[in-house]
Amino acid sequence: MQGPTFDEEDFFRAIQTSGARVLLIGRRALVALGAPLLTADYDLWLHIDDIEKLNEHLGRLDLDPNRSPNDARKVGRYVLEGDERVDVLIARAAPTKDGVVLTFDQAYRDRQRIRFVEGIDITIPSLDHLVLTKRWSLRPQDLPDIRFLETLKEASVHKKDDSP
Amino acid sequence: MNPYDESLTPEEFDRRLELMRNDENEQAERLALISWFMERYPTARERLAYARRKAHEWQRRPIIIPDMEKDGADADSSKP
Repeated sequence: MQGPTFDEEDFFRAIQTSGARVLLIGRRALVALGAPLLTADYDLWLHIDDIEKLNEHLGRLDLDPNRSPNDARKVGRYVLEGDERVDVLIARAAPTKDGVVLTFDQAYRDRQRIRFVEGIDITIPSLDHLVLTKRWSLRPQDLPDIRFLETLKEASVHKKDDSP
Repeated sequence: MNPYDESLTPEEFDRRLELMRNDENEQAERLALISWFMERYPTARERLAYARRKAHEWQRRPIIIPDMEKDGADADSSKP
């Protein structure tokens, strides 16, 4: 969805000022890192105790939850809907189809920050953890995403090698 | 469900991934795409704005509905 009133700077500012422990995952995280991919939604991975904090701040941008926090905790995910659609995962941990478990705490501990504008950073899992998130569903569309992540990782290694 | 959204088995997923990894052209193209994207849109803000713009264009793309009558006529005219 694309809305006329949605302002991405306001969105990331609200996330940051909410104080919620949250990670941008999914294709938008890859786009922020440098992969030119098409995507319609935002995917967030949120600490299960921080639902209220995030909802309060994003509610000011007319992004409204489709479930109460308690119901969301039972289901493990919910959606914030408005001019944009934000899928919010609130699992404490998620396994890949082949049994590798990534916990929110691990992903959040190793997070990377990307500058959006001065004063606003986006928090994203590490490249290795993003690859694991892309193995949660094992859909064909996850294949090119993993290849982009692997290429970004190789490029960053070469960049470090080239640095004085 | 869109077949593109269906899960693969871990074995099939890894087989396809390995094929992509071993394709030198695929690797070069992917690296070129990233290089272009990072040079053209050097900040995360610009890259995300590009993605939103492209998603918007994609959602507003014209849907082409086949002209059944015309298709039928063409099919008939192709008969010997």
